[in-house]
Amino acid sequence: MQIGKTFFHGLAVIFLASSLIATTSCAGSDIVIDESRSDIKLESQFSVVADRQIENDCFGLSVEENGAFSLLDKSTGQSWSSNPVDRNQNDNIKGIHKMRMNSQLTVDYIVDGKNTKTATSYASSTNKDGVSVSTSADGILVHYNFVDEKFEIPVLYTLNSCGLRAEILNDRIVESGNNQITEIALLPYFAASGLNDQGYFLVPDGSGALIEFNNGKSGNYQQKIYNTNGLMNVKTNKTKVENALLPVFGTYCNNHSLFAVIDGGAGSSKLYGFTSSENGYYNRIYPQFTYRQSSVVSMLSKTWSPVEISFVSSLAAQENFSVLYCPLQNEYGGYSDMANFYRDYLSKTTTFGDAVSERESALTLDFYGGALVERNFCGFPVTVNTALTSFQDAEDICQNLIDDGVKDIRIRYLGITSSGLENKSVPDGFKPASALGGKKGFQRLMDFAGEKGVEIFPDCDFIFYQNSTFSLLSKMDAARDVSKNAGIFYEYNPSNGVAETSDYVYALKPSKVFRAASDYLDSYKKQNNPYISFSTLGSFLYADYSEEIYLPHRTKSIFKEILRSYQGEGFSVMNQAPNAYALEYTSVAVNSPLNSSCFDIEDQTVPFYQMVLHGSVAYTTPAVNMSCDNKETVLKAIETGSGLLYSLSKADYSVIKNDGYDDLYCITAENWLEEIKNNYQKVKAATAGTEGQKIVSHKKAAEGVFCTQYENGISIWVNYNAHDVELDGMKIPALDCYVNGGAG
Amino acid sequence: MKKPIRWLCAVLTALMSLGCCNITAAADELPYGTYTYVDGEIKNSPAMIRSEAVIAGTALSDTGLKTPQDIYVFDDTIYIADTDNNRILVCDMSFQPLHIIETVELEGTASALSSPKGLFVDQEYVCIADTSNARVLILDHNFQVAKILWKPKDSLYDQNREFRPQKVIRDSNGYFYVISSGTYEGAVLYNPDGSFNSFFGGNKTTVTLKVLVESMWRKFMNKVQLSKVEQVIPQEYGGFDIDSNNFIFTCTSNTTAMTDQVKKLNPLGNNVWKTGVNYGDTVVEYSSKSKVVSRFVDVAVSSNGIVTAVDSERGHIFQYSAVDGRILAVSGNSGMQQGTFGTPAAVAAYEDKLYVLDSAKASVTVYSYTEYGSMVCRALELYNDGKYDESIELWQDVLKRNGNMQLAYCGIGKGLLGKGEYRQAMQYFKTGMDKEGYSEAYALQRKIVLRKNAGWLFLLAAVLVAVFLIRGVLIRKKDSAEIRHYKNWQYPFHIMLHPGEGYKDLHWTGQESLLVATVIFLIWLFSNLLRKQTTAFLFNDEYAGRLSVNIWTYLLVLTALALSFVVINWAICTLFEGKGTLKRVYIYSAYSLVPISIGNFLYVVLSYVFSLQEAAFLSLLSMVFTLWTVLLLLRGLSILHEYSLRQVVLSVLSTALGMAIVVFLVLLLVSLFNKVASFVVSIVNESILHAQR
Repeated sequence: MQIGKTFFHGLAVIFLASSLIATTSCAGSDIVIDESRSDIKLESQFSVVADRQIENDCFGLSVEENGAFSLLDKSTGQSWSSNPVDRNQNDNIKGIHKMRMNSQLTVDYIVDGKNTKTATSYASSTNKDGVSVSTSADGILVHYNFVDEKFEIPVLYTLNSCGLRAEILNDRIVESGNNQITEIALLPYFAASGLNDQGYFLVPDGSGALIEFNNGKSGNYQQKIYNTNGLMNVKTNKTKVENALLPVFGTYCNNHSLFAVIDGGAGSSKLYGFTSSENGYYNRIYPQFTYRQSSVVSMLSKTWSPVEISFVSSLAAQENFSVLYCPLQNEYGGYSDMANFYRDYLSKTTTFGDAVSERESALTLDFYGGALVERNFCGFPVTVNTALTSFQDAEDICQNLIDDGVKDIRIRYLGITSSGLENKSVPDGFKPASALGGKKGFQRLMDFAGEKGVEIFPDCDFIFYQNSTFSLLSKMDAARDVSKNAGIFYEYNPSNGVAETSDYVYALKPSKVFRAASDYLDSYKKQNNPYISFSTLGSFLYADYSEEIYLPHRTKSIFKEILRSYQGEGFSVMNQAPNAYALEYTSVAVNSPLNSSCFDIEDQTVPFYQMVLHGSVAYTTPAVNMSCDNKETVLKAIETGSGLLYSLSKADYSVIKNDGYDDLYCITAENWLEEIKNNYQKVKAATAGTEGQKIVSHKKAAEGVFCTQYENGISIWVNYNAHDVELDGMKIPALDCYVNGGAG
Repeated sequence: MKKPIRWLCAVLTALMSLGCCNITAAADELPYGTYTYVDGEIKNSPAMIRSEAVIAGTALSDTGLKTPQDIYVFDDTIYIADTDNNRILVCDMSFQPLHIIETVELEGTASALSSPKGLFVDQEYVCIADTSNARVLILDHNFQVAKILWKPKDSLYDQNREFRPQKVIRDSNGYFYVISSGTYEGAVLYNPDGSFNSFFGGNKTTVTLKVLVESMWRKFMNKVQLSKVEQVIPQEYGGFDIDSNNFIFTCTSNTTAMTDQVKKLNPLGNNVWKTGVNYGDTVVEYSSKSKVVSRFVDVAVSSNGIVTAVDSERGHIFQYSAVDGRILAVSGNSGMQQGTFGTPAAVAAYEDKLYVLDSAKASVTVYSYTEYGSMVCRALELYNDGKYDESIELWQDVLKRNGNMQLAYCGIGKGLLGKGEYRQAMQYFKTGMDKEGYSEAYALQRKIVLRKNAGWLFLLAAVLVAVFLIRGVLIRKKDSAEIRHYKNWQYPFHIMLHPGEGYKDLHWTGQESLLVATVIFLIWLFSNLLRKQTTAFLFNDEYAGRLSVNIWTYLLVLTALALSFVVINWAICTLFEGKGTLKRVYIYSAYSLVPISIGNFLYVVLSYVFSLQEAAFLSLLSMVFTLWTVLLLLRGLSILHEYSLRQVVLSVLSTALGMAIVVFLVLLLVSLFNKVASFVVSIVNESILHAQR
């Protein structure tokens, strides 16, 4: 008995000790990342001409005493103003609209930790003599002193080879009272257009969308850049929207383009767009930055009725918020020029475009590896990882396709671990499930792939998980929101959008993501497979407000560092619809959006994302077999220069039909092989000659007819109508395409 | 130590977790999701319809639309009831305005429309429900008044009730049907000449047990409580439409009922679709104490055999097969994107497009069928005509695209059935969860198998008979007067076959064994589990053969019930001078469980052999074994406690009562505990939050 007692005592001590060690090893991170490398900006370049006036070879900037300014594009003579030039002639605009119309900044702040208020720079600063403008070799600094609200915000304007940069100097923002700034909107009326102006705004919604001026549509456009934090702790979600992948926007007014890149604080920004239906006169688009994240939580008060209390982050944004405004030359018109410019900008400031991508028309297949399925064993339920597509099956399918002429195949292998398609835990090493064939089976598959020129990208997700491998309680490793609750991501009921509270995942703390990714790299390197796929690393950005706060900027640096380290080890990385910061490390952008969210206020969807990427990064459509209209998706692939993506599994769908995978209703491979071969040949034939070429222009040629033009002169017309269309002497067949090679 | 616990947790959580494919699953590209219901379970589906265009009211007329309430399309012309602007807009198919009806000429003077809410157009007439003028205008195609339908002066129509016509339709014989709000007897039916006829197709309140019980409770309620309870008056129709065979499709909107929201009425006014089925969203949702349900504001039937109903509560578009009301797909949503709605008010179907009127956004959304949707329509057409054979290939194409489409599996199954390929048909019916179809195919397949092997079966039967005869002859030679001594594990079987003497022998010899009793109890638990989960597909009540509750909870509950029976019985019988000890009550009760366990095992085995036609035999079998167990139990308890039959029955009934009280107390305690626990948790949470500020 005595020995037994001691034994158990010992066990208890060991157990306690190990859990202590485990928990303490979680706290505190030892990651040192060179954040200065994360945002590379264009160098300033200008000379001071007079007080409040600077210029360089291409542009001139002159700022008034009250903070308003105008930017002159010397080559076209077009000038862009911070506030509408005719604003004082419009007596009908009153109240809040008038204050906004005259402001360069709109600030939301929290008073005494309770209520949110808004202050405009016109009412709170300009009208109270709080604006001071000073010119120096660093640029023109406009200092806004919000007298009553007791804070000061300095904005610095500089010029460079592309245009104007407006930068809010965060480290010099002073809050001398009890008010805490939460949001700052920058230049809400810059380049606003009026009722008589023709043109549109470009918004980075999904693949890209246009909002035409004065379209009479009510409502507004608003979208978070990079969809930071996504649906963390959101209990109701009824909408299905695309994300904003690029931190850009533009205005095309009377045939003059002004393009803007948010090059500082993009991860904390939200884009707003209004047409003239809002205030009756002006159309405008602008970014709003989150200086301090806040959230509202309902709590019971003394009287038992719920009271809303605001939580504000203790850490304000560290990096400066800045936007680069670039007036463009009108070469191809509108968004085509913007796409060309943005591509050049990315090549200049990052390593994007250093490698030329030539396998755009390769066929990409999503293979579903294993899925956790419940089987009955004598009445007792057992969860088994059933192989949907084992490694041998993958080989067979590829062989089948290769035999029938499909030359380039890429495979993204999903659900390769023993927890199948569920994000049970963050992978700590490359461990292919034994149900699929284990390490040996994978090796055999790679030998086959190497022989036949098939690229295999095993997918891994370091962000979402259900059970943590780092510490005892899964919740402890989760990123937290501002109110310190663990960030939970739910699945939603399709009929009423309410979260299914029994089915959720956490997002891992960014520091842990880094560690997991590094460990995985060490393990995966041994496979000698130079391809890897990340489904979330390049597309999901979030902040973590735990003990050590990771603002979106910092998380972004970490993810970029991870991607850079993989690329540095020679891996070709596949990302799913990557955000702008991940583009330079991406070889294949799989599942890129072909549509925008089609908000009521938007007028047209444009393939802006694809136009920027073609020739530098290969990209694919969303899964063709999952779309409701396959023919149209294939045509869209031809129009946008995308490769085709099919989601497949060797096992019949009925195997997993009753296990909660009902969104995979069409993945049975043998139903699609015929169609895959035909569509592959069709797309390859249509886009022959465009490999590695940049898209220089895209336009709507007629109703339902679009034209994409490549650098080397090839033009592809696509007709979505049910009838043939005659255009400029060409006959474009119904639901088909027409290629015009070399006829610039 | 970790592995079995992990396995345990995995098993426990496995039942709760759905496939959680967060980001890797490719999303459909439309701004709204599409789903369907398979036996009440929600499943994803590719989109059947997609929005082609959204026409803003301002494109139709300069003043735009103001709360438009109805739309109808006929003969390449679109009619929109622009209600709050008191007019009807007439446009062509590209929404170019043709005509505006604001006034009609009546006896020389112009009479203005006032809040027209309903429209119907056919070959001869344009019918307008001129709501605030309490009349229905029947105009010819030159917009001249042909007839006017007024409030019926008949005694059948309650003269105290106002006539407020909302919607109108006309059948091929010229009769007019008008929905007037506040009229519960159904639609008001008018003769072709405009005179009142009677009522048509009222929503009946069927008197069910539930209704009787509720009316009994109502007698005890006060006014406030009564106002909160669902009214049991028949609900009026929200909208209706008529097809070429004079079948009228109706929908009900102002109700919190979740069944029969959409109906198909034959010319006699009877619903030919399945009743008691939920035609809307099955999700139970509450918002500030009232139930949120699907509210169908309008319904339209199209010539391709699809019925479309619009739910204004959540902005969904439901599509059903016109023949039997099976749900095909649910699309749309409320929102600010193309194809989503503010408040959908009406739907019209014309050729192969749908026109949905949004009164909040004051716009018309035009939907066309997607590639997938057209496939379903084509397959459905053949299926509805009974051409199952030809529909097989089309349904295969549909299945390729949507493995959740239950109707496709059944369609293929029916086709294969007709072709004589029963094995394959069974496979399809099973995947499609169609029990009737499976049973039919199985019965036919079984006939073939039996016929083929008839010879072998007869031989087997003959052999078995021979064996029994021989055994009987051999045994007879033994001395039956010998006193049989049984081992303690043989007693249960002895008791089962000889209830009368079995227990007496046991009582006399005192050979009861705790071990044997526990083993029997465990076997009984296992047999229950087996019956719930491994019964053949045809007779399995659980969805996909899976227990809907956690398996351990189920076993725990059964064990708790059984043990509580034992304890309470012992307690009660001790009070009433029963002679049984706790241990003996347990053992005697457990011994009586043998027949029901055997019954369960037999049930499972036989369920694989029988078809639905023999369902009665199976339930009879189950009943027999259950009765056997009950008799054994009564007998055993009466011998143990030395009770008479009357006493033992009374004791068992009081035991049941005692158990009910215990269950009630336990539930009460559990709910109290939950409340306290959640209160404590919320306090803790809030103090943590407070500490962090």
